[in-house]
Parts: sequence; C-alpha cells; structure tokens
Amino acid sequence: MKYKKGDSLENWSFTVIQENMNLWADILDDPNPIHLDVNSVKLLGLGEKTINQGHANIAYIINAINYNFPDSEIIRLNNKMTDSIVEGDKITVSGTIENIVKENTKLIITCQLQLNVGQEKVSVVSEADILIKV
Amino acid sequence: MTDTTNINDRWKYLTSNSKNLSLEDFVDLDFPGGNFYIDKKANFLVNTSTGKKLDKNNLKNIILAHPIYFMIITLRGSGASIQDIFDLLNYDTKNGPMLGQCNISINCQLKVDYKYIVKGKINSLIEKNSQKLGKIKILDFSLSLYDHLSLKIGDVNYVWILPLGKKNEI
Repeated sequence: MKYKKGDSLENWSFTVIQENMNLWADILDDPNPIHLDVNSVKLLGLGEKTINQGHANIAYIINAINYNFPDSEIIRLNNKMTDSIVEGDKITVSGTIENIVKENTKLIITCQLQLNVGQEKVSVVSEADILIKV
Repeated sequence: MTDTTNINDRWKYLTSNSKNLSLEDFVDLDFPGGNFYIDKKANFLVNTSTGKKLDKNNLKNIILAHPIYFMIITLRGSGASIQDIFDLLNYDTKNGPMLGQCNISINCQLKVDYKYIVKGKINSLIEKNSQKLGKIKILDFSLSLYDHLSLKIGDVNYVWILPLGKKNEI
C-alpha cells in the first residue's frame, strides 16, 4: 500500500496577500472590515495588519490535502480556528496520516492537519477523512 | 414544503426586535433558504486566490468545483447574507466577528455550472466570557446543500465568535 499510518504529509505553503482578501470579501459578500481596513483592525485591538478570511484558511487546508492525495475525495473536514492569519503571512500546512481503513475497492484515510505561520503559531487545526478509490 | 413567507416574516420580526429578545428566541430559527450557482470563472478565481494552480486555457474541461464551495454556497445561498445574520442579532461587525469552527461533511463532489439548494437553521446562541476577548456571544448554525432532485450533497456546521462591544447590547 502506498500510504501508511504515521506517515507525514508533504508540507504545502502559500503567502497571503491583500488582493486575495479583497476578492474573498466579494466572494463571501462579507463586509467585515477586519479583512479590508487596517485601521479597523487597530481600532479593535486585533493587531497591525488585516486579517485573512477563515474560509480562505480552510481552502489552504483543502489544497494541501489535494496536493498530497491528488485523486482523492474529501468526505469529512472538521476545522478549529485557533489564531488569525494576517496579510503577508507565509502559511504552511503540515499533517500526518492517523488511520487507514480499507473497504472493498476504497481506502478511507484519516489525517490530522495544521496550518502554521512559522514554527510557533498554529492557526487552524483540522481532521479530514479522505476517500481514495483503489 | 417549507413555508418561506413565514420564515422571512420571522426573520423580519426578530431583526426588528432583537434588542428586546432573549438568546433562546433565535434557537431553531430556519434560514430563509435559497440557491447558489457555481460559476466556472468564479471557481477559477477561488482556486488561484488560494494557491491552487489551474490552466486558464483549460477552463471548459474543469468539471468539479473547489470543495471550499461547500462553505461559500451555504453562506451565499442560505437566503441570509452574513450581514443579514449580524443584523438579525443586532450585532455590529465593527467588533470583528470571527469564524471559530467549521465542520463539513460531503456526500458528493460539487460541480461547476451547477445550481445547489441551501436549507438550514440556527442551533444555539449563547453568551460567555472569554479571557482573550471579554464578553462574547457564540452562534452555532448548520446549513445543508441539496441538488435539484433534493438529494443531499453535504452539511456544514458553523460556530461564529462574536466579541461584544458597547454597541452590541443583544
């Protein structure tokens, strides 16, 4: 079998830019100024940079799964947001295979993933069930 | 069959009176419901803006939508915009609402150039004290996606954290 319990996933990285936050505000029809206006973020005491949409952060997790399992389908994805991602952050998604169940012609792989900025800051913790037809 | 007139009236009533209502008055409230069409070009932007490379010249051969559309569709097609939800709760977005948790279960992959139907309800609205944010409200709601044959495509459960400032006396 190509995949083994305990295997690490290949890291996936991306840099967050304001242009994409503006686009996601439109995509989500979300007027929250913390994504668009740095002065609002400062006024709220939430830092010095605009804050990325949580939905985009989860999209990075999905892209990391797709990168590691290109011919798969995600069937469950639970996400807990633990810290914010801000404009200019270089994020990295890492993960491990926690379990593999074989059912006839398919594998269901459970992965634990996390989205980090640098070594210390964990911004999203996720668990995914991924279906692979074999 | 869902009585959308009654649901819309209930949203209007609650939105107008949210200051005077208890948190329990919002529990089990159905979303007005609606639908959302996944546009091929928008799907391309969703992919590229999150770091997934797609060939722009190959757009017509792309059949499946990015799975993050489960979140986009459920919010955009629920019949209530994010602003409508905050208006319902008399919540000022200037206080910086945050997505706390999102759990997605998927029965079937999403297709581009396809319309999906959205239904859902508010599960709970509670108030708490957070060490980091002070007084907050926690909104829990679930939205489900269906195709045109009423086949369930998936479910999304959201937990939003709503920090309370002086302007938010709900």
